[in-house]
Amino acid sequence: MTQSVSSIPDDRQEPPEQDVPATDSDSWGGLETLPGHPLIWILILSELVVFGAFLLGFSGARVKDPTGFAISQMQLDRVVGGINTMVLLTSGLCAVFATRAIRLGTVGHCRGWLLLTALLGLVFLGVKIVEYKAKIDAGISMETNSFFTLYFLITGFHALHVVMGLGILGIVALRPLAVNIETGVAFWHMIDLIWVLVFPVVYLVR
Amino acid sequence: MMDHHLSIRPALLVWALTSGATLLSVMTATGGGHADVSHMLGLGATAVVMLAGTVKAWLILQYYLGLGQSGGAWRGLFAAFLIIISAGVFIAQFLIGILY
Repeated sequence: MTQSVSSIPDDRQEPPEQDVPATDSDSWGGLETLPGHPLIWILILSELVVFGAFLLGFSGARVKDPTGFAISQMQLDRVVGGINTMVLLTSGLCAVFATRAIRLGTVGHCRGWLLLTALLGLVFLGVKIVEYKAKIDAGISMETNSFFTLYFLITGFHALHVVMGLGILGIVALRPLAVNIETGVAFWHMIDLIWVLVFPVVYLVR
Repeated sequence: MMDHHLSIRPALLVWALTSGATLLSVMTATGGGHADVSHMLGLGATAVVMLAGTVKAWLILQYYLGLGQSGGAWRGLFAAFLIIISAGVFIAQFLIGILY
């Protein structure tokens, strides 16, 4: 006789409840060993993927029109781009000192270094605005050609991150716990990291 | 004890190296102001420029972001991203050299 499915006794048992509740450190797969909140590292990875795709897309578009890209790239000021890179690198150094200061318990010094970091970020944005204005005054816009579409898209998206970074630095300066400072500073280093990849691809390689 | 990535000397050294790499890449791309910037970069110059960018990114990850303290798998993942980006740019330059 065939036994119906519903009449088969269920030998399966519910798994016993764990005595020890899962903690944050159990669920981040090693990210908890890195400075700052683990979520910032997921953001850093995501941003690297997004900007990596932009840069590979830029290089792919360049293969289709290398002459057009080279002529358009001549409109960019490589030296100014290089100076802006140095400005961001120096702001990153100040951010390291801000983290060091909070670890040493000197909140005042930490805020001072964060202020210097933010000021250098503002210098970067100022130079970017001057650069954009020069392009617009020369009649160049996003619609000019593929190079400038990608140029404004990539550098504009990066500049937007700088603006967000300035806001984050301001917030963590108001609540200077070590984890907050490390997280805010990690976001700032990510901005730095992305720019050192954007600069050679957009400004230098032709 | 202060983490290694927060020590003053390594942080200053990384800043000096990344700044030097920036100067090197600008000089390579512009030929110190003497190169005809409308000409394509050769594969060697492209390699120098992209290597400088990748090294800068790696130094920032290792020493400023503190990735050096993490497990090898995370370091490997970030290294893979940087290699993919640099290799993509280099392959594009190689294809331009072949096609045009």
